[in-house]
Amino acid sequence: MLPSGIIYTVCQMELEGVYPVADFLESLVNDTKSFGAVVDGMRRMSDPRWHGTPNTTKLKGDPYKGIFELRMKCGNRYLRLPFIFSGECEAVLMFGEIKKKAAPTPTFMNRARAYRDKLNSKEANYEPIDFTQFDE
Amino acid sequence: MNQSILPSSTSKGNLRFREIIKSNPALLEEVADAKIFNEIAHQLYTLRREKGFTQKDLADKIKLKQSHISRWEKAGYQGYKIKVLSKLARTLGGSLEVNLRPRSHNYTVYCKYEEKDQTSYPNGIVHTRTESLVLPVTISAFGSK
Repeated sequence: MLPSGIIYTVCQMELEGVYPVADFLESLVNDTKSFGAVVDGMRRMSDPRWHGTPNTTKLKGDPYKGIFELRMKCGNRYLRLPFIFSGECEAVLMFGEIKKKAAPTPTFMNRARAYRDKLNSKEANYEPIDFTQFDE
Repeated sequence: MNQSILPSSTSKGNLRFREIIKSNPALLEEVADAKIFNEIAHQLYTLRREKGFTQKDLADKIKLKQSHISRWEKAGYQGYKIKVLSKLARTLGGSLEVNLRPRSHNYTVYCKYEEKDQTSYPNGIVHTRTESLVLPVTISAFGSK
């Protein structure tokens, strides 16, 4: 778990014009409950008022290698978005996935590692998410 | 490629989000609901801490388990009952207030102001100068969409 009370700027990764987090949210267009849970989870990460610890964990299978995970439970499914820290308190979300089991698959891990390396080698950009656009 | 943080308002990623929201307006309702429930959890936590109660203290006072309080203060919980919330508020020395009100809409109307200025010269020529100004005026209205 990450400490609460720290203001994180939540960003999303951009690689060659592709936004994997936006693609993930687009796949949830007809699943409003999951969409709401993901946006809420992302917003809570950047909310300094939120009293609880963020829904973040060190990713199993990659301990202490810099990959964390934002995880929400919606029904019997896990909505998971791996992220890394970049700069000062910038959490860069890399992509999203829906899974029924808690443990990450090798495909998921490989994708997360590949994106982390791209971000660390500065081959990929990232930009902050504007949460005001989700307000009615 | 040079890594840089792009500005948030005009970035392509945020424009993508806007397109997604446009495709299904129900998505925003879901996000707004989640925000309301988070606010309840936060207020409950704040009020309890202000009173110096532990979760166990509060649970004992309302004759429930500590796990109930823990669940109500957790993000994503959406099963609140008004009666229970009212009881909690009373126990914590507060009160529950529920407001159902029509949504407010802001309409921006553009008003055109025109100012005419006439100047007469001794040789009989009248020069008319017209200045027009378009100003936005915001009107708040309550009621149906």
